[in-house]
Amino acid sequence: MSQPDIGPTEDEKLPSGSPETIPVYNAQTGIRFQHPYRRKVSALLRDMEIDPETVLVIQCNTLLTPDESLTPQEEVEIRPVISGGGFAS
Amino acid sequence: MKCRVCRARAVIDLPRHNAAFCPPCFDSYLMDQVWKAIDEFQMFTKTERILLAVSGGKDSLALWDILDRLGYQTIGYHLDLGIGEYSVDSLEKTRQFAQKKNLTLHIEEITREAGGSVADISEVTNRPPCSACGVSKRHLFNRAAKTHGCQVVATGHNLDDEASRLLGNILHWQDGYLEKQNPALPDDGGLVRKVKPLNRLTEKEMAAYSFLNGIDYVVHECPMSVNAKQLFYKKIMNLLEKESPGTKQAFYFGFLDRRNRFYPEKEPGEAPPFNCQLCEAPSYSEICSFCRLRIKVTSPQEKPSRTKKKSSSSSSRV
Repeated sequence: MSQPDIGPTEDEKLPSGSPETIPVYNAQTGIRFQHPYRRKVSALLRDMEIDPETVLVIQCNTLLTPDESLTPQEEVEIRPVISGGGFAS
Repeated sequence: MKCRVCRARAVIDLPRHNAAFCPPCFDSYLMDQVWKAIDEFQMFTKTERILLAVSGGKDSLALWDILDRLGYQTIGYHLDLGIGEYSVDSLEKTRQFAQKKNLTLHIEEITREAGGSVADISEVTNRPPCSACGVSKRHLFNRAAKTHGCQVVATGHNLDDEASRLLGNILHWQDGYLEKQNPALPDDGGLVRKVKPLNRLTEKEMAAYSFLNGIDYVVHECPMSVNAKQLFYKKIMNLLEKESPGTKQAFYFGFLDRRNRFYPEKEPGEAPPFNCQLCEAPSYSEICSFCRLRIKVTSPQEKPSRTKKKSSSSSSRV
């Protein structure tokens, strides 16, 4: 979901020495890729234009809430939660 | 973020409740929501047998886990839809779950029961795949419930499913569907009672429950539902929810509170006048709609173009 680009907040600014990228795994497509490192889950999701209510964010086998910090170098799994098709069943 | 109950580290935030929970407190919250749904709509009792339609996705497997934990008598029923690798994966996850929990599971194949896969039925009937799938499921769930002595069929539809369905039905003023949009449809006209005990919980909550309880489910979307209207309505509902948390729940439960005003409760309907000449299911015509569909799918004139290719691959994998 797009949002206007308002830039990083004070909380989201990267400290010096932060990694440039973080490994991300999209559990629905099975695709792994590198994404520019963001300190907070909320910033990563905003960057990727993802509504936090539509995914689980998992790192080191732990569920993360949007305010949590991401551990550099550890893969972040983005697991979509939306399913569905017909109304009938 | 801290747990609203015990102040431990939260793993899920629920903006619509202005709350966040740690794993144990989230579990208590979620079990309580399911219990409330069962109780409020008098879905079933502990002496009844429940046929649970299990797809292998997060909702139905989680529901099976929850009902088992709550001490209800469940029998799992999985319908193999014949959708390539997606169905292979779905069946495997369902089987593994049942084995791990030592739960009873019955499996049927749509290709055997309806004469073709969902894609075949869709092609022959010229209906969207989800609609073609729905006709078969309705009939086969009901038949399975009767065969296995179950008084009720339970499905894993959640709050997002129900709110998006409501939106679609209202946008097109589908009175027939709105009248039946009820988390507990009583047995009527030869159809067993049908219930949706997850109607108070969102997709995210069900996915979180599955993750936290180590339930291995099919994460991939059904390839047939990629363009489904319901996904579009879910997107709209999520946009509204983002702007105003709680909208989804207020919309859906607001409708349920007012439903009787618009669609007054009817006396239980009489059983349909016929029994299908082919399958003996109660029917409004001499041949029931499912058998008519099967005749159409298997008729040489209507034979779907893809059937020949598919049948060889599906027989080798089962």
